[in-house]
Amino acid sequence: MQNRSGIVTTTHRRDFLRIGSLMTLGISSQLMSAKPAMSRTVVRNGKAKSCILLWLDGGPSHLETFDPKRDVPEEVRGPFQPIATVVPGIELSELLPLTAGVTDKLAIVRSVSSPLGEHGIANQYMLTGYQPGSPVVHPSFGAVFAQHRRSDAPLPNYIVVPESRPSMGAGFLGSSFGPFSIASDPARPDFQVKDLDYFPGVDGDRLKRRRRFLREIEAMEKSLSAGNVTLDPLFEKAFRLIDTPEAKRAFRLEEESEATRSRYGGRTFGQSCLLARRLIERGVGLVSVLQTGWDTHQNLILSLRDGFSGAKVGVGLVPTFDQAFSALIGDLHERRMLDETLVVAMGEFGRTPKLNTGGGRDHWPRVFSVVFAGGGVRGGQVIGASDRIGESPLERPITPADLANTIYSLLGIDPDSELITPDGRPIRINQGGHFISEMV
Amino acid sequence: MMFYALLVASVLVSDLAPVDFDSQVLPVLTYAGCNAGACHGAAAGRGGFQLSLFGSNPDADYSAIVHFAEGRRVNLSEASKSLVLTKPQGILDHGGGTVLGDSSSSVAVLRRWLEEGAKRGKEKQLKQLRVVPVEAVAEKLGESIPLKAYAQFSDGEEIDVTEWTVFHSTDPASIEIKESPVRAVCYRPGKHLLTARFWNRIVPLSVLLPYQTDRKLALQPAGSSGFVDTEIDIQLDKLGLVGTAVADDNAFFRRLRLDLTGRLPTPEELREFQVSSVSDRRVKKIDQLLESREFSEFWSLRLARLFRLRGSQEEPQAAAAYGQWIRSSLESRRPYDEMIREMLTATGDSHVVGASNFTRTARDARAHAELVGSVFMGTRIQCANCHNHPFASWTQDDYHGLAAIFSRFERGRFVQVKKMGAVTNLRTGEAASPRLPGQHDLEDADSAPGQFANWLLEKDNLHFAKATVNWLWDAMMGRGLVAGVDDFRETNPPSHARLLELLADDFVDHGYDLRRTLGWIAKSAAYARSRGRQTDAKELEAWYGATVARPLMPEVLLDAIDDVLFTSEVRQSEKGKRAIEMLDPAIPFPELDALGRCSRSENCQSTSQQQGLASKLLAINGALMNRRIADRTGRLQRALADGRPPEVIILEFYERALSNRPSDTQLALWLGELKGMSREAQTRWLEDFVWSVLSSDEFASNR
Repeated sequence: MQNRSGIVTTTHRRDFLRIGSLMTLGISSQLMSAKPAMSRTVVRNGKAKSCILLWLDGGPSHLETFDPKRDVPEEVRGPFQPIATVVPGIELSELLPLTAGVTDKLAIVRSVSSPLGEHGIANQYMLTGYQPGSPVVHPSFGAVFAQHRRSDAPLPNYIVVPESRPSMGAGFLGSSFGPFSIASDPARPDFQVKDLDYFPGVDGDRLKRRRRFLREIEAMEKSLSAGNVTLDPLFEKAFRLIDTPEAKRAFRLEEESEATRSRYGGRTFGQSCLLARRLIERGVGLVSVLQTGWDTHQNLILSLRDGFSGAKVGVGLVPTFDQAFSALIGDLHERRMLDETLVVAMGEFGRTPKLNTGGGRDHWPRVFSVVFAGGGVRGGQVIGASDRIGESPLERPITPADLANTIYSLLGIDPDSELITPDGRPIRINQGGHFISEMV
Repeated sequence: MMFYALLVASVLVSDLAPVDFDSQVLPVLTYAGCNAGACHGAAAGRGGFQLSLFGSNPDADYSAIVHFAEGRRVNLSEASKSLVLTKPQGILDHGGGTVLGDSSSSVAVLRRWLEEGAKRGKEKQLKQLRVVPVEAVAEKLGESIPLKAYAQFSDGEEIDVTEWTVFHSTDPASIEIKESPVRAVCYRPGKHLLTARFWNRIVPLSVLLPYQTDRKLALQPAGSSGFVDTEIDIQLDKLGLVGTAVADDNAFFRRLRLDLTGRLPTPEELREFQVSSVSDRRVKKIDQLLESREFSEFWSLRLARLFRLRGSQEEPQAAAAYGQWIRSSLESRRPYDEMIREMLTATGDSHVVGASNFTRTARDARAHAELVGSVFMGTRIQCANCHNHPFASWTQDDYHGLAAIFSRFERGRFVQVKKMGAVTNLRTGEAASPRLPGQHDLEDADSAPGQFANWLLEKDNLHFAKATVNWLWDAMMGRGLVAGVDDFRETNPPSHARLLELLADDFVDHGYDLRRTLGWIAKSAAYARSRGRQTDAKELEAWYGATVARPLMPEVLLDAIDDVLFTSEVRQSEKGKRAIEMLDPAIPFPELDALGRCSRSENCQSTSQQQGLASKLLAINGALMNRRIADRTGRLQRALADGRPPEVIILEFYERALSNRPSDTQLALWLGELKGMSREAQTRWLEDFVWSVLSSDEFASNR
């Protein structure tokens, strides 16, 4: 349906259950909207055309990745040392030697701060820019981008590899803007996306007929003529994707050379990043790549460096990330795609400044790091700082709402513009965030 | 307007008495947003300065302002240089920006309090916050409604606090708050909710603007649930809405059969129902279904979802015992309060004592308290873990006290009560004492779960009854009277408060009988309504003036697909069990998972089954539907093998799947397509037809 602002919104049947409750009785928890006073810097028309969001699920330790500390007691520093990078003055953890080689392309934000230290709600805040708690379920970046950058291409505009998280959903925008989760592991030799090809005995002509029949049946029940019935847009989308072999080729990783495949690393996260690059290349708007396991309460050496497989070379979380991330940045750069592709690596929070008794670190949202690259972002810089032991922001505290504002701006979405809920309520794309002006 | 502001200011900053910390300074901090969750009211504070959320802990706030940070926040010799003034005024750098204007009356209050020596004054409590009007009715678009707020403190006086009350609209496009004087301006018809917050209290108020003021309420269809329809019709009337007529027999019967038994009606049943000459055949049918074995079977699944029954692969016996206990309790018509009492207190071998598994559902005492709050009290008490609940009356002491009640349970296979066990109250840092929420501490920790059960299930305590009838209403009507079955709070009031009370009273007075309440609902005219027209469906659905479409549960959907495509003999021999009998989601069943089976890790309502594109790909190319349609033993292929004419097959699938007949034009259209086709082509055509029927939204929802 077309609403006042001209944004087309769709109402999915599952949403009807919620609509009633929102219509008149909902209450937001953001009741205390302190009067805005700060001036807002807004960058419009960001140059990024697409985005790859690397979601480090569980909350990566800032101290063992992008914010290592020197000259601090060992229980703070942890088992690893800082190393130099190609940018003088910027140091990373020794677990990121390859990333150290592309640091000139990175903007590292070291002063992100959030009040939420529990996985579910923290990642909602990080992935939507809104603190949870209101009856409105806010859409994730990917869903807003998919809604904003309408595409008629057969490939879904928002894809999650290899699997999704509830906070990556479309919220009130409705599931037609939700992510397409490929739900299979790109690192497996027999990797393929489920149900993309015809069921034996059913061909394209029969699918066309089924689609036509579906409209007839929905029309009958609504007492309309079939011409006036719009099918669930997701059904339309599915029919088109199935019918476009060229689009489905995006998922054929075997078309990549052996050298490229091994450059990203053979593990799930590496091949997922490679798939993300292939998808972006073919016009997909936003791809989220999930790396799980970052909730490292125990034994950092094993979880972050060595991995649990007993391999001689470290295959833990950080080496896996290091290889895939540096390959992705390098590959996008070489293909001249980096300028138009925003890459963001983040998790829901950082980890406690002091090691716990299990040699791990617990949840710590008060300060942590998020990394930006590409999409017009000025590389080779650190924005903000944590204090001496990585406990609190030392300068330039940045909220998840600021991050959201910045991501939207870089993607050319006006963070002050409004989305309309199915019952007609206007909701700002971003509330209370400020653009991180150092980015550009 | 200026005059007005000064007048109100003079009430708070009167020359007579010194400024009071509790009743004057804290409200200013709330008003300016200083102690909100996003600012210094966060559990960890902000910028090293921590206040209690919305000033709920005056002692702590007084210390934070006057004593902490080496007393730098107050400057008694030069009041205007105090950080509590210079920061919010933006004179010194403030992360939250400028929140107080230099000449605002808020600043005047703070300055005078500082000049008078920043004293704590007499402790005061806010007894009541009264807003006027609580329920306003507007007559036309653009109308302004003046808002006032009055506070009554523990020392008895009631004063006008409108100036320091934050009125909030969640939907400014419908209703907007304007200042000087404070008023609400209404832009859209409907019933709009506002909130008023003063100091540590928040209260709701509503403004109603009828949709049509000139139309008289049309004659409502007669229903037999007197009080249900009376309440629903009163609201519709107030809103100027006219509900739809009752649905026809087929639509009504399909709806009822799915809601009460989780099954589609068979064509035989449909016909029998239609030709029945009994005058109150709908009422009779409702009573008959409520007494059926199939009702107990399906509502066992509903209860299992509510209780979040979930077994483990290693110990399937535990969930099996639990499921059996639920089923037999329902079959034997055990009063629901008795069931709950047993769940709250049962101990023993969880492989044998089914009810003891409720305790095992929670991993620890806090989770136990949250589960009890959500399932039996309809409330999200977990908000009170770190701070007093901002939108409900639960305090941190209530939360940790409730957790303490369950802290002695041992949650292994053998559920038992230990001698020891405690939880820490995060507010005090000490062991929490067991406490009945909103009531008092319990002396004897050993009997705490039993005492809690007594309190919860006491006749005068309506938390439990209201939460339960609201859950039943939600299941039948598509949306609870309180939207969100575990979201009872002052600021989320029921759409029909009196109806909720009447249903709860009736439930309590008649032996906590689930079937009785379901009967009231099913027999109402509101339940029987047909769909809204495209133009006004949304408004009508919001007020139960038209039926609300709701997706079939994955279990019900899978059974429905099987019922349409297979005869019962085939199903029996192939699978043995219906999907709705799988009470335990830990039992592997990939097809159910693909349809979005609820994992029960959270409330099954809030994990809305958003499945997106993958679910459509599955429907189109997946085996779930395609394999069943092509199955030689299935209803379609058998009918074809028997040489049944296409017309008969078409009609049969309409009736089985949609409980309906195609219109004459549509039937003509279908038959026109089939004309002149080879048998083989007809087979493929019919396969495609059946696929489309079973993939339609019409089939997959109940309305």
